[in-house]
Amino acid sequence: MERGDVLAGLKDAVIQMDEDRARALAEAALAAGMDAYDAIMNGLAPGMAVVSEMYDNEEYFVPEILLCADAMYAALEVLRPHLNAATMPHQGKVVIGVVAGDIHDIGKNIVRMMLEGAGLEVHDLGRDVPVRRFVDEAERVGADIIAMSTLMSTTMENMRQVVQELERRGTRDRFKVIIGGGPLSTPFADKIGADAYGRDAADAVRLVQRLLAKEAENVA
Amino acid sequence: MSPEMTPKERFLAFLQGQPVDRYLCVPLILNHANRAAGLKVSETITDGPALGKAHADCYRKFGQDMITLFTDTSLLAESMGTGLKYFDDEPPRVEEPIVQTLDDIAKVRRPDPHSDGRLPVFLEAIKSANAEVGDEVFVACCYAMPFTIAAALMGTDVFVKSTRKNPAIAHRLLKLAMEAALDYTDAIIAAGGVPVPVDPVASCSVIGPKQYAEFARPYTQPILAKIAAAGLPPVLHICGHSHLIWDQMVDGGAAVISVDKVDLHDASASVGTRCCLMGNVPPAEVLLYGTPEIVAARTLEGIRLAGQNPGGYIVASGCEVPLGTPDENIAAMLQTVREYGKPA
Repeated sequence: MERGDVLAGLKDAVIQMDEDRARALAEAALAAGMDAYDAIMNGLAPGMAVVSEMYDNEEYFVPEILLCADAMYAALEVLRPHLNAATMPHQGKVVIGVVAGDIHDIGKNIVRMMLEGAGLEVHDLGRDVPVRRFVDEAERVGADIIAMSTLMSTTMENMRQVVQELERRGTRDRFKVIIGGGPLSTPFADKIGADAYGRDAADAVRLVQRLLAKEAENVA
Repeated sequence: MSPEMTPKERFLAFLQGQPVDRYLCVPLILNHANRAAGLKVSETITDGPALGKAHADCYRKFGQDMITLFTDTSLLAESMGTGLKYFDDEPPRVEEPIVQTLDDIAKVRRPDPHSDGRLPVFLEAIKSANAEVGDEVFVACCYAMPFTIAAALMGTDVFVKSTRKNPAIAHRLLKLAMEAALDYTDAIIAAGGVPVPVDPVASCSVIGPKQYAEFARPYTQPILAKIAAAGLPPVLHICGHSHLIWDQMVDGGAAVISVDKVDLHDASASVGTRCCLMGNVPPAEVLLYGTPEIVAARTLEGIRLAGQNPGGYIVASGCEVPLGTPDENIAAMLQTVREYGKPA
């Protein structure tokens, strides 16, 4: 198969929620000697970008997004073992999880998927994640971003505690902290000292890219 | 028209299209009723009389226009077999959905409202609250609609995916959920309560209008019809976004639509001649974290946007008043309506 056909096929399989075809095309990409990173960044990622746009435009909703994710992960599972870390540009690392006391993780899973679809390295801590675990893991993996989610008003306060834990350890400026979920808002992000609030998954990707770009600028 | 109508008189007058002294105001005080009564959630979660009394005490404190009994959207799913996890001072949540494999559907039982799970707790709570304050205020019981129940029977992510991958299974589960909800509707009414359907998982924050039309509306409609047939107002609360399904909520039989994160003015322009609007003071941002001044401003904003809605307007919170909301904020919402909420 030609590179162009494989990439277009991967993109389309993600958009069409076609898990089997996504997996088969990932295998075809490797069989044709394509670089796994190329297949991810130029096949799956553009597919997820379209999915994200369709979600923004209210054409796709959660069921579709979850099925697109299944297709994307089916291909990623095939491609990931063949990634060559040495030749890959640094894409930014995100530690993500649902805060302690809350188990609603669909929103978080969608954000994770969109971030992975955009080529970021995402460490998913799951749901009901204790305050310290966010900070421990972010330090351990050298994350750029800590992303927290909750759907419940009762657990929002745990986000503040993560920020306070970072301050206590003197590592607050090493990470950008972003939050999202039903009851949250930009004023709440400001109030607890987070860097930003993301309205939805597409917004979260834009936020992360903006924060990473800013970081790169500061370093340069 | 008496200058100080009781909430019950006000509600009845409102429903019959007669003059009322002010707008109805129903902050959705659910689990927080415990806190307002000085109790933890676990102290009433399986004790109907205590739950009813806590809500009565909460009503005596704030004087809201309706008591709203509710702990969690998994109540019916639990009575059908889903396992929940309980906490000291938070509502329970789904731990183990009953339907893990397709064969598990056979395990889903049709619950008896008087004996299964915590269904009897709410029936007793209705009676207990009515015994305390039922002469002056209606006691409502909020309960999940079939789409939300089915999500708790299967796990939300698996269920919503099934609407595309295996619609036949989704429909089977929805039918079971609908039968359970219909039975419970009867039981609530028989106990002296006002059934208030809620369907958060069917919101546009999760599914689109096409899926709502196929998987939510057909199963909600018979329940709303049953409520209407009993001479009660069919209310439908859908939190999150709902702008794409307002017409379907109304066409599906809701006389009152209770909305959350939407523009009330848009809602009024869209379906306002055909239904009463209820909403939408933001629970977290305004009620939990705001000040009484912010609450007052946001309450007035709702009246400004929807107060002239042709089908009527009820001041309410967009979703559950969060556990731990300051008393003065709830009081500010009600006081604002008492002082300024007189229909022109």
